[in-house]
Amino acid sequence: MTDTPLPESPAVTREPQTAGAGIVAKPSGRKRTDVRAAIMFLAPNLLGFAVFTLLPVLFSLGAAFTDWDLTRPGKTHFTGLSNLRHLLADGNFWVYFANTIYLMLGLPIAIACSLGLALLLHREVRGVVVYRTVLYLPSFTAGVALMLLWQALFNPDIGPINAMLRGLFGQSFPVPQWLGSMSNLLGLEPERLHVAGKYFGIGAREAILLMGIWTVAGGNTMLLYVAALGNVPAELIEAAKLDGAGPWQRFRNVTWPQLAPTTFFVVVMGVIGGLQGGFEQARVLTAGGPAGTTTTLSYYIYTVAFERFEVGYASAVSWVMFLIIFGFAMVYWKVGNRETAI
Amino acid sequence: MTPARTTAGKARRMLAAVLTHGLLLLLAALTLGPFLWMIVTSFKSLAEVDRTSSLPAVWQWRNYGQVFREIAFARYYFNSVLVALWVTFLQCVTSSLAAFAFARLKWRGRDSVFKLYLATMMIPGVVTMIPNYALMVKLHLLDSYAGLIVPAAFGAFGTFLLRQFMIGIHPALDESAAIDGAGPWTTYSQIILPLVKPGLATLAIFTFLGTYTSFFWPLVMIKSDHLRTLPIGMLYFDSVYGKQTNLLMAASVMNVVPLIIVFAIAQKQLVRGIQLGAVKG
Amino acid sequence: MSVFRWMSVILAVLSVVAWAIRPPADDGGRTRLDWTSDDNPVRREHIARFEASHSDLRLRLNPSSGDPQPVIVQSLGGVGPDLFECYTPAQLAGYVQAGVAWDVTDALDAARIDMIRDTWPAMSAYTRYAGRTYGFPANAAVDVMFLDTAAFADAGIPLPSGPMTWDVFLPIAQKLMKRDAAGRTTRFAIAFDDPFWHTLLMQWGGSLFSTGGGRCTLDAPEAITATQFLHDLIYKYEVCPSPAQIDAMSAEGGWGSKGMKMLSSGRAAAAIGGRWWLCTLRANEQLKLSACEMPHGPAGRIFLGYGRSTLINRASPHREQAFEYLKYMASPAYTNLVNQQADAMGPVAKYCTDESLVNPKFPAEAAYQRVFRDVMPLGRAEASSPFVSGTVVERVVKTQLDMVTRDAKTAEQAMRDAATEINAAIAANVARDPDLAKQYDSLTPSERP
Repeated sequence: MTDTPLPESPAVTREPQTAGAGIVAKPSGRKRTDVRAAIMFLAPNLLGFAVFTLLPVLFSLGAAFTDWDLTRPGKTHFTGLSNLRHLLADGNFWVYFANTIYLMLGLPIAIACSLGLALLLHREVRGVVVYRTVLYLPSFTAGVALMLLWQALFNPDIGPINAMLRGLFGQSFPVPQWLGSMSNLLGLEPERLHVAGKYFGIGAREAILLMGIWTVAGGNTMLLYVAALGNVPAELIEAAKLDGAGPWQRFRNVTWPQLAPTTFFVVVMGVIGGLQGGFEQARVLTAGGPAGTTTTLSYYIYTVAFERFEVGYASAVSWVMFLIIFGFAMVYWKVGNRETAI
Repeated sequence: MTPARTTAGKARRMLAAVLTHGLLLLLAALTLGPFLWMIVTSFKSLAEVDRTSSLPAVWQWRNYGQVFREIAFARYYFNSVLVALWVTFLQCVTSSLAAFAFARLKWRGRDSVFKLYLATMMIPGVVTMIPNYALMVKLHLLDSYAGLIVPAAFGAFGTFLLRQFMIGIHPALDESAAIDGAGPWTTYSQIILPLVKPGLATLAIFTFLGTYTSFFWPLVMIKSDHLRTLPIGMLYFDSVYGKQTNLLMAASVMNVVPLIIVFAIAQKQLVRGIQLGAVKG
Repeated sequence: MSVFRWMSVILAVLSVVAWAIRPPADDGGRTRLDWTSDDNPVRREHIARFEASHSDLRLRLNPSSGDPQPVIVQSLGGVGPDLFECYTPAQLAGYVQAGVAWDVTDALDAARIDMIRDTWPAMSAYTRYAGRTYGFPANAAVDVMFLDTAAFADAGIPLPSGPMTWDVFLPIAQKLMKRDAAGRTTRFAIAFDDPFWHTLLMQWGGSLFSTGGGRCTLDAPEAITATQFLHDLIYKYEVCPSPAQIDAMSAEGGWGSKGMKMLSSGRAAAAIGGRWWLCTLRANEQLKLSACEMPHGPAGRIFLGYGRSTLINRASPHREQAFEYLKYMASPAYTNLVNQQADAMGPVAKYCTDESLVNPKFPAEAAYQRVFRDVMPLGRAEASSPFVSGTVVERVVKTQLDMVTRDAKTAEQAMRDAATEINAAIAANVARDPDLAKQYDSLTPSERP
């Protein structure tokens, strides 16, 4: 699970509502056009952008149609759509895609947690800065170090989480095996898209989900919601109060619609991040296991490219992943714009 | 309002405050719990690690020294900070220049180019990773600081963020500067940059953070021990000494502490920057 | 802005420091050789000895966790090490196919080193590929059964010795189990690490591949029975810990592999492991060890022979100098040092004398040092295939064994699935690469599916 990476961007979705700024607006700094100056100012960034983003993107698109293999230098051929055919028949791809989606199930929970925290922090409580600081800490310090910490916390026998569970429910409580287990809440079988009762339980994927929620709940999403809540016009709330609306109704009918642009933004960013996520967790915590249950698409691409050296195929998989992300973003953008326009 | 109602209102407000604080305290405890466990465990002897609820009998300060002896931890620290500072610096320079061109200069095709920038932010890192790796090979930048710094020094994100800040500045400012005979460079460096300090600070913090914790790129780029950054060093440490939970936690603590310091210094600025960006528009 | 100015100053200072502390390219006129290996403390002594006898060379260890991928990727990218380690026959194939390993056949002949004659038989697979030689064995091992004498005394069982079958040993193993009042196992009979399955596979007459490597034969009855036996050791006879039990117990710390930790913490009475375990176990002074030949299966006394070899980067500008290190590895001094360090067994068989094996600092080991050497000729390297990458095979096998040892899949289904997946990979590779296809077509019909 990834935190909302871009702190400022609700501005994008807000722009249509506000005049005088944003992509649609034309900031008028100077009267005449400054083409030469613009080129000078853009040059450093544009050059880097072209070399390290644009060119690689095009290059990888080309590579996706070849059988480029790092260990067979000079033996690369154009193979047309054979990578794509291979991918459609690649059972692993679909299983890892399902894993990726499964690990994104934490997203709505995390967003709900962030919103809940923001609602608490938004009130005039004493020490709000302290609370905010504490809650923001995990997302700020996230990385390999914290993953190794959670690895220790999840240790089935001597880790504090299971120690706590045993303390609460007794020594013989069947504690989860966490990162070592293939069980999951949907009862998905490893290796194929099939449900079987004996896989029902709590396992590696749940561990990664829990860790993810802990990490991001108090992160940027929460801060964005705090800011958005501050923008909800007080008169609206007061008016609803006078109409006799209870706290829940006030939230449901007044606050929640006002938060729509922020929600829209964090969901988009969350899904985009989630679809390409799971690499670090797999690389650091589980090596994609047990039995491939925590291998996500991005980790799969990494193993294909840097462990099997089939760079052509890896490029094809990464482009399919990009198209999935792009497709999602487009659909959601259309739907979202229609809804938030109201 | 009658006195009775006021008292009832007060009581209700009191109750609400107590509930809010109670809930927040609980959540803060849940958040801090793992950190506390990490710190306490880092001072334990190996035999004490599995006694979760107890404090170390003797606080093993030497665990920390041992981490430095087992691996080149100081070197990893240095590398991480060096690379992160360089990337932060370059990002701020290149992004603010580009943002200025997008926000304060008029030229044909500006908005189309900017949209192209924006669109590339959606491209997954893995798509560009492989060609970028091949590019680094061609440029002979594999296994070098430059290979870590240069590709990360340009970004659409920084440009986008700073443009948002620059666009909010009133156009009259640089118009009057132009009347005084200031060229674009003077306008940029004397007028605009000082005004987008919160934006620069936000970008700097996020870039530093992102680079300091970045994992994917250094993992494939770096071979030599003396060039490893902290996350890669931690991974190596875990693969070799991973079952010595106390040492691993000591290393983790040392990994996280600089971030907490950065955060403590910058938190006001950071939160303001994030929320300013969010409220703007 | 002053902030920018300050940043520039700080960056300049840091960069100068970074430049100043960079490792010297040239160590006082000596040529530097980069050696990527695991950071085992025993390597340092080899480096010291080697440098002492080669005043023009400097050997620098670049510690890594032993994954082959980085070495290949880096070597193809032009920043590979001069010397690197190879840990499996499949890795050797990967290195050779990628053009990363230097063919040292002629150099060895010129130095009059007869590698095949002098080193342990199983190690050929770690250095020889398609009739050419690409390195020299660094050490070699065949697993034995380590015994915790205290556990055997506690259970009132005499130490086993000599060749025996699993049928003979299982009843003994069951007596070695110990449980607490709540019924939780506090001591298992036998602990093992991942390579154990490979030994079982051989002991039941199975193999990863058919001769020539054209087909994965894990779906053969021998492989299935062997895998079933691994499962039964855990769940039927209940003498070995399940992965969950191992994870839980071995996490308590101590160094080394899971099996080592189970043994040294008294949670296993016996453990299947190699002589190299002594490097770690020697530090545990409470542990009174012994060892005997590990039990064998229906196909007889066959054991996995494994080890490490050191290869030279073909693109290294210093490969001639790097070859000096291979020559050092063929010397009696090298084998003797390996034996004294107990980093498995020295590569050259004839130098592995009793005297060389027993380290005077650890006299108690004298009682069982011969066991390690006597099993060496029985070691056999695992089969590999030129048609599929070792990494793929490893990942598939690991995935399936994960399921078997966690009791999530039957041995039969797991082995069939493994064979299907590996054979599909072989077919895909052969279809993709005309050179491979040519090699594949030259296999005899019985070697193909």
